[in-house]
Amino acid sequence: MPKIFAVVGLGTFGSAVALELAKRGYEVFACDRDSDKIEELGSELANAVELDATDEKSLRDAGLDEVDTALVSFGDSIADSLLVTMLLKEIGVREVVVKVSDERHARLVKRIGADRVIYPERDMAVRLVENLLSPRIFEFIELSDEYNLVEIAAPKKMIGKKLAGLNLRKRFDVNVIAIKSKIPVVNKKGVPDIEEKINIAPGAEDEIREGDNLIILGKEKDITKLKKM
Amino acid sequence: MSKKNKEPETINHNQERLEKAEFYILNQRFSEAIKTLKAVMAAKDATPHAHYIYGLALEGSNQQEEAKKHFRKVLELDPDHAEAREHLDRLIG
Repeated sequence: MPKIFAVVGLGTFGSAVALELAKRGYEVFACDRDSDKIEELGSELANAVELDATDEKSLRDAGLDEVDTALVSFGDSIADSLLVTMLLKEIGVREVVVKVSDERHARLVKRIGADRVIYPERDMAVRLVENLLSPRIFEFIELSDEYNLVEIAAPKKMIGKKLAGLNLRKRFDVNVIAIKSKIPVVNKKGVPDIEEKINIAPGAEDEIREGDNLIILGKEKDITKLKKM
Repeated sequence: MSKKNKEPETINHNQERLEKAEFYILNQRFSEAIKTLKAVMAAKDATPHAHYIYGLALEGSNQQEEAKKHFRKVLELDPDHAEAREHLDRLIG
């Protein structure tokens, strides 16, 4: 049975999540106490409901006790965010994801039972800094203090070579998780174009081509060495 | 040779270079496409299509910032150029 979602708090982030889930065909309960926001999203979301999520009865009446995963996305009120997280857990929502605004907020919601905490501003800031400092890093995810997952442009020396020959695991202690390639095409109007294709878990015989980006898992110091290749 | 006689020749050369660059792009040889088009782009009157092909080659070789400049130039010359709009939107994110 497909998962049922709820998004509580329809600011920019919450609305974007609700609309994306709906676009992908999932049932989403989208709630906010602001009637203007409900009206705005009502035409795009089947279940957009005006309610005060800090009231347990309103949550049950709206059917939120039947959802599998709820996102709590309040922009400015930590107190409301904490209360709603607690209520959603109490009425039986299996997974409650909370968007937090700072470390203190994160600590508090974890204590009252949030299953997952997300910190979009901080995560985006880290990615932006990585990208600004190294323009050839397109994506950056810190997996732990030591390990990162990064997307980098394939160094020139790799172009035309097969992964087996490059022996990156032995030489740099990194793993190539995927290769993103720019594939030339001719569009319907007969105009040249390029499309991005991703090769997940590439094999030893796969060749690095000009314009390829590599998605690499490894320690920061090893990835830095590889980039200098 | 008079200036008037020289013009069609230049146009032909540029057309040849453009076709050659398209061939390189379609064979995933983006750097060669860039090299081929440098002379065409040096002229101030490069067409929207030439800017688009050059932008495509730059994007293909991961020179996003330069590519954006040329897609912007295409839209300045031809605001309805759908392909340039799509690429620029994608690069801006």
